[in-house]
Amino acid sequence: MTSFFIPFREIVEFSLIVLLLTGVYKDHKKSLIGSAVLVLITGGLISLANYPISGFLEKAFTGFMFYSFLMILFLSLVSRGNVIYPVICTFLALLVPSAQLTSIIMDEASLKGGSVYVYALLGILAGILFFVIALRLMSGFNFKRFFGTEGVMVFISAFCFLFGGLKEFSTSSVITALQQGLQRFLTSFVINLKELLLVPQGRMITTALDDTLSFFGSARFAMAVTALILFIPPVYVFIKLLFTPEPETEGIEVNAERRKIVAVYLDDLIRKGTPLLFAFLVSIVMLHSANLAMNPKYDPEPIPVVADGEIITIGLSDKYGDISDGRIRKYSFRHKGSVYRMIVMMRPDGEVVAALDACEICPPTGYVQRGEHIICKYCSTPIPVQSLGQSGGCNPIPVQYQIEGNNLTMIKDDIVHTHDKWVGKDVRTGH
Amino acid sequence: MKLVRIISSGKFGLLLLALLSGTYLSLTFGNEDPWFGMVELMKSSFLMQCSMVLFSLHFICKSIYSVMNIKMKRLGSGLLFISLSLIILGILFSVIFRDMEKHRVNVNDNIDKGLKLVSLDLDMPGEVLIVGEENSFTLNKADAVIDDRGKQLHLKAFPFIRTSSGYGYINDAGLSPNIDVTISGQSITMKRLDLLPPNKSMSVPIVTDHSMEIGFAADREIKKGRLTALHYNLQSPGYRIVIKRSDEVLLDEVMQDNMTKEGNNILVKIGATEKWVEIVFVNSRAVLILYMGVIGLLIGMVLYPVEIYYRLRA
Repeated sequence: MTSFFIPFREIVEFSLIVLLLTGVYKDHKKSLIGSAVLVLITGGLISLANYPISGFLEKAFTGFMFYSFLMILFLSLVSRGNVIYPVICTFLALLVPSAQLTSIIMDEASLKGGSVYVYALLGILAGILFFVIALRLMSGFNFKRFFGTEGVMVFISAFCFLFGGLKEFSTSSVITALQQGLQRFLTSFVINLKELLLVPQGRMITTALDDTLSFFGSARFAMAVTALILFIPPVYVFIKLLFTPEPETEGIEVNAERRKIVAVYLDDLIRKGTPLLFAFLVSIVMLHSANLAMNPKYDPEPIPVVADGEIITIGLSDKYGDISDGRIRKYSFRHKGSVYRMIVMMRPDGEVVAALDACEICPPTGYVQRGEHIICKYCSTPIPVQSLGQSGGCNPIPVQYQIEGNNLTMIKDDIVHTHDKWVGKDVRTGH
Repeated sequence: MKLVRIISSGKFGLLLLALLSGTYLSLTFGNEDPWFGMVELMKSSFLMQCSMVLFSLHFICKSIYSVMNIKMKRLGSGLLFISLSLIILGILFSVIFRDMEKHRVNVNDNIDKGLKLVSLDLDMPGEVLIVGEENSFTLNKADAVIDDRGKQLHLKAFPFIRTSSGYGYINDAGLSPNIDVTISGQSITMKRLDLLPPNKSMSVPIVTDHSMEIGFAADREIKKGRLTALHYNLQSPGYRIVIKRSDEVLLDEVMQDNMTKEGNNILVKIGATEKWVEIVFVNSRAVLILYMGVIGLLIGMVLYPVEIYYRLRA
């Protein structure tokens, strides 16, 4: 079924891009469809001729894919009514995906046998059928009401960011790759610049200029530049749209007629602004996810512990690691059919702290760690690790504990009592 | 005039930018450090050098147009463009014509062609406490007096100064004894080793299939909670020396200044601990161009929004 579905899905995606472009550049419909078919065939042939794609070509394809979507974004800044811009856009958006599609079909065929080709062909034909029907249905639809020549490029790049790509590209973000690429460039460039500016680079000497320049080679700065690259085109096109001059209405004497003209103008602004806002939102969401990927959440599985009588003993340095690594550790124990979860962590000041994996105000969904904070899974409040052990608000509820050598000990009844007092008897922090 | 117009046009600038970006991107394939590849191209490829000069010319022409703008003198963008051109030229000329020498010396050592290190002033503390693995130990002050053919010059880490051997500055500093190791009659002397920060040790290959690990030995271990801190005395430091043949440890000793240890056919002599500095001399006329570019860029970045404000008002 995947042999049918993947080619079908990809051809539908390609169709949507071509449909959008032919809808906006109506006068060049035939040239655009022709060039799209040519690009798809070229991509397929490149893949066939070099199968299995590996080494340099594989890296080149991935690189081209990442940068081609960005190039479409920047094409929006210069695009005009000329047919060359949508043709370039088609080339950038379709070449590598078509090559990757061919490669995937051949991979599948080598694993599952020749029947894959039949299913793939059916999938491609179904996709083409979708394209033909959609083209007919949309021939009467005026895309220019929604997209300017720049707006359509921004929208297509956002579409590609969201849905484009197969293989490794589908599991990694363009933004993460761009951020990492930029950081690689900036780090090397800043080191070189420091050397050229005669700034000391020895391990033992630091200067203010060295610290300042180092900032420009940091991951944060690379992310800021990535955000700029991503946001400049949609914001520019949006601002340009907002600054479209209002229609001249001074010569019109009938007020209703004047209001009608202004309303048409405003409607046009809203219609053309909506896809741009969509593209802008896609950029924000992707940037946010890339930002999160830079600093991932850490949510370990609770380690089950058994009370020895009334005492629960937890090793601070055992097969699960050493508590001094600064990472959150979770423990759970059973009591009268319920599961109770605790967290144990070392604060930056070296103090080991134990608390319930719940707070006084939220449902007991627990915490995850991100960098120097633990975050409530329910309300997403970030809590500085240094404040662990303090009660109140969304802080984890502290419990009594003692540290003896390599062990942290807690009293079972105290945990149960504290839990029932704050979280409630009917709610357990168990899974 | 037509040529100037072409060079200053946005399309020409974009073309050059695309060319340079494309070159960089092509170097990202199969290259660990693509920027290093670019620098190598700047040194060797005439085409690359021409592209950069043209890119710089593009910004110079743009800055002239900005300043000569009839409606409004665009000083902010003019300064930005001229600074960019200076930075591009500065990088290109620095990469091509730069000549650099590093000298690691102790006090009273001759540095280079009639230069001598007369005195040294490092803010090296007598005691250091290092908590955990993080290195928080760096020097904020490194001053030296050098004798430059009879003239006394004060050398710092930053800013650099002009000497008879080019621009000079202190690049690194350290603390190390002279160590003589003799293994089965073969002798090796080591000086000015990279032993700082004190919680790191360095590995030095010595005679055939032997290696030596050396680092400062902590004189105290302090525990607070589960955190461990190591205390080092840098005034009369101890050194932990481990000599190995493959993985076999032949000698593992903590030694102090002017001590000798012997065993397993190995003789280790440690001299007095001395401060050292690494002085760098650079011959490059482009340094000043590069600094002018960077300073201009910073001022331009402040002036540019002001210019935009006035342009919008106008």
